[in-house]
Amino acid sequence: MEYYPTEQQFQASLTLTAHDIAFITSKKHGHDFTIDQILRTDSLRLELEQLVLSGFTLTQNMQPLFFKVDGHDLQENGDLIFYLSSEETPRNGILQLSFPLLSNYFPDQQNKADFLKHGKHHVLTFLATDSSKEIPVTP
Amino acid sequence: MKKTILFLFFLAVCAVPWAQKKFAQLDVELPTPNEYRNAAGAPGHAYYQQQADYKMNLVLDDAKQKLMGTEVITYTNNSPDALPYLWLQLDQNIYDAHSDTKLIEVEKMEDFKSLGDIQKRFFYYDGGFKVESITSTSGQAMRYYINKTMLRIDLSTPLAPKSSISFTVKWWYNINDRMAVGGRSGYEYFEKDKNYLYTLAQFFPRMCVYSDVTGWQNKQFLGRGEFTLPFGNYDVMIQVPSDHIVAATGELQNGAEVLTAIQRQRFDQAKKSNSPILIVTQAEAEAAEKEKKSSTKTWRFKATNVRDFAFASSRKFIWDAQNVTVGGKNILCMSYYPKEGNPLWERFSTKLVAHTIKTYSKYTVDYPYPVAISVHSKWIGMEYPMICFNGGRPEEDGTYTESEKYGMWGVIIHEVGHNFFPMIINSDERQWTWMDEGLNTFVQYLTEQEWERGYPSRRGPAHLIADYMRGDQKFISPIMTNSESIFQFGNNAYGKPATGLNILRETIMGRELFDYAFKTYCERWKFKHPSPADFFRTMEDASAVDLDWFWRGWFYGTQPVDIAIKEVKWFQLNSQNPAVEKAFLKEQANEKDVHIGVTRNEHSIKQTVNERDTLIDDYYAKRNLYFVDALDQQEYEEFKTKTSDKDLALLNAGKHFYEVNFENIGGMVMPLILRFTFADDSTEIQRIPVEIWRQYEDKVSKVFIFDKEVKEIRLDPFLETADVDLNNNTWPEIIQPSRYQLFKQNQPKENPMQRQKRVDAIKN
Repeated sequence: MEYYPTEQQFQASLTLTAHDIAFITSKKHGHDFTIDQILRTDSLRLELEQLVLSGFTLTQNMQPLFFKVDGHDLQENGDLIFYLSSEETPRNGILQLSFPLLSNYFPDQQNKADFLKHGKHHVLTFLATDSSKEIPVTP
Repeated sequence: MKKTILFLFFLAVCAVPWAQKKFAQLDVELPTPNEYRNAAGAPGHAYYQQQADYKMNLVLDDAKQKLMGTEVITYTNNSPDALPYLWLQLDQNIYDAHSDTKLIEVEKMEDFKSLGDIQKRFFYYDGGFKVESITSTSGQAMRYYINKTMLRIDLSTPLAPKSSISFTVKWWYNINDRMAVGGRSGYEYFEKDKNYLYTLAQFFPRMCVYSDVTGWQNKQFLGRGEFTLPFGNYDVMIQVPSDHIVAATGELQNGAEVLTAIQRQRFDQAKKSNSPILIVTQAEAEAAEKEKKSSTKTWRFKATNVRDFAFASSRKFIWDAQNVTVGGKNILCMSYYPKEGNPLWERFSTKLVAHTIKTYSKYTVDYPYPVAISVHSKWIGMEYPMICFNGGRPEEDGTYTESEKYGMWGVIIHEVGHNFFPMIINSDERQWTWMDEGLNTFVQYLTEQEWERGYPSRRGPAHLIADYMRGDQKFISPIMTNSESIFQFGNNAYGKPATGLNILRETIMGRELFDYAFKTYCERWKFKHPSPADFFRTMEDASAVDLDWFWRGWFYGTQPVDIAIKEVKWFQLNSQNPAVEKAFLKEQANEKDVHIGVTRNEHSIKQTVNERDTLIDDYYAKRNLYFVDALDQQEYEEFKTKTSDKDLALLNAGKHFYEVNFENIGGMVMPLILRFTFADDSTEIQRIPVEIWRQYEDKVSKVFIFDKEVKEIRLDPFLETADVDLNNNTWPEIIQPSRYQLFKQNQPKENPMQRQKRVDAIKN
C-alpha cells in the first residue's frame, strides 16, 4: 500500500491464493467453483470483492476510507492479486489498518501489509487475534 | 563525484570488533557427535534403527464408510536398550470428539459470522480409532494405555536388544468425510453418481520411532507436525467392493484374482511402455459407477522397506500406467482418477510421476521402489510411500485455468517427490517439518524447471521469499522451530528452506559442489533417520565450504537480507602529466553547472567594464589556468626520471577507482554480487564472498578498479540473495516500481476470453 499525492489516494495490491478463494467460495455455496468460474461470474466476483474490502479497512484520524477494487490479476502460479484504491483524501493523520482478511477461515495464517513511502518498506503483520494496527508512518 | 588522488596509501587500521556473532561456529546449537551420528554428518559406527513389519487384513465397508482392520506387528529392537514398553501412534484420534486438535484452535466471535460457521462448530462425527483388542501371539490380552493420539503397550518383560516381539491389534474407525471434516485422508462423495472415492492413510495403529535422538518419538499428533515411522515390510489384504479398483503402497500380488483378463493384458503392456497406457478406461469406470456391485474382492499388496502404507479405492477410478527406468531398474508409474479429473489427469498425471521419479533420482538417490502412484484427491496434496493423493480438478466442461494446471502439476511433482523426503530419507516430521517439506520443495523446483522452461514455480527462486522475510520479526519463526509452533507454515517450512538451498546452490557453493554434497547427504541417509545436524554437517563435510554462518542466519535466525549501497566514491590516479591533468581540470570546470544569473547576464549586459577598458585585466584575469607551461613540463620530466616505467604505465593507464560502501541493514549476511555498467554500456560482474562481512558485520567497503568509467552499479542484479529491499541496491539510486504502479502500467483492458472473442470475430 502506498499514498500517491498526485492522485490524493491510497493504492494497494492484495495477494491471495486462488486455491484458498476457490475452496472457501465452494464451501460457502456448497458447490464446487474454480477460481476462473468465480472471477467470470459477476455475482461471485462481486461477493469476493466484498469479502476482500471487508477484510481490509483503513482509517485516517479514525475516519474510515472507502476503497474500491480497480482490478485483479490471476497469475499462473496461483496468486490472485486484487488492486484497490481509496477515495480521494489528503494525507494528514494517523493511519489505522484493520486486516483480518480470511483469518476466520484460516486462523493460523498471517496477513502482511507492506506500506511504502518514498521507496521504504514498513511491514506490519496481522494475526487472527491481532488484526488491527496503526501504521507508524507520518504524513 | 570523481576525485583525484596523488598517491595511494593503504593504512591498516586495527579496529576489529571482537565479537563476531554471525560467523561464530555452530557449537552449542548442534548435538555432540557420537557413535551413532558422527561429526562428518554420517551415520556413526554404532548407528541403529528399529524395524516394524506389518501383516494386515482390512475390510472397507462402502455402505457405512467404515474401515476395519486386524494387524500383526512384528517389532524388532535393534537398539542397545531394553524397552519396557512400546509406543504406537493413533493419528485418527485427532477426530475424536475430545481431541486436543479441536481444543487448541484459537477462536473469536468474528469467526461465527454466519449460521454456516456455527453449524461447522457444532458439526460432529464419531471419529477416532476404536481399538478392540491387543493380544500376544498366544492370544493373551496385552495391557495398553491410550493417551490421546499415542498408545502404550506395557510388556510383561522388557524387549531385549536384538530381539523381536509380535502382537495383534484389532481396530476400526468411521472414515471421515474429507470434504466436510477435512484431513489428509478420508472419502469424497460424488452426489451425481452416488459413489465414494476413498483415499486412506494413517488408518492403522503405527509404531513410533525409537532412536538415539529422541528415544520414543511420542510427541502428540496435533494435526500439523506429520509423523515419523520406522521402516518395515508390509503384507496387506484389502477387501473392497468387487468393482472397486485399488491403488496401494507396494506391488499387487494377486492380479489374476482381482483384474480382468483385458486389464492384466493392458497392465503388462504398460510395464513396457514409455508413455501412459490405460488399464481401466473412462468408459469402463463410468459403467462401474452405474452398476455398483455388492460382492467383494480382496486385493493383496506387499511392500518392502517402507515406512508406511496407504491405499485408495473406488469404482470411479480410471487407471493408467507407464514404465520409467532409473539406474537400470524399471519403475511402474501409475495414476488413478475419476472422470471428474479429466482431461487434466489422463494427459499429465502419469507423465509427471515419471518425470519426478527420474529427476529426483538424479539429484538425490535412485528411486528404490517398484511403483510410484498419483491418485486424484480433490483439494489436497498428501504423500505416503509409493502413493500420494493430489488435487487439480478441471471445470465440468473440461476447461481449466492456467493456474489450475500449474497447481496440479506442482502438487503432483511435490507429493511424488515426498517419496524421497521423508519416505526414503526418513526425517522426523513431527519435530522438523522443514527437513522433508523444505528439501522436497527445493528438488520440486529443480524438477519443475526441467519439466517446462520458465515454469512459474511458487517457491525456490530467492526473490520469491522476500515478501515473507521482510515481515515483522516478532511473527517470523526460525526454520529450526518445532513443526507445531511455526508461524506461517508454508513460507517457513517449505519456502524459506527451499530458497536457502537454492541460494547455496546458485550463489554460495555453486552447482557442482552443492549437488555433490546434497547427493552425499541423500545417499548417507537413505533408509535411515537423519537429524538437522546430520544435514548441516554433511553439506560442509562434502564440500569444504564453511556454512555455519548460513545455517546460523538462515535456519536458526529470522533476519532478512537487506544490503544497501550506501555511498560510492570515484577516484582516478593523478598521472602527474600536466598536459593530461590540466585538460582534465578544464573539462571538469566546463562541466560545472552555471548559475542562471550568469547565463542571463551573457545577453542582458551588453559589455562589462573590463571588456571596454583593456587596462582593467591584470595577470590574474589574463592567465590560463589550464595552459601547460615550461615549468610544468620540466617538473614532469623530473618526476619521470624518478619514477619506474612500471609505475608510470600505471599512472597513465587511466584507471578508475570506485570505493563502494555497503551497509547490512537487514542483518543476514550474503555475498556481494555486483554488476558494473560502464559508460560504453558494457558490463562486468564481480562476486565478493560473504566472508567480507566476517569482521565488520554492519558496514564494509570495497575498492573496484576499472579501465572504464562506471555509470551504474547494481547489487544482486540476478535476484540471488532474497534481498528484501531492492530500492537501495543501485547507484545512482533507482526506486523500483511498486506492484500497484506495475498494475497501472500493464493494466489489461480485457480478459483472455474477451480477447479471444475479438479474434474469433476477425476469423468470421
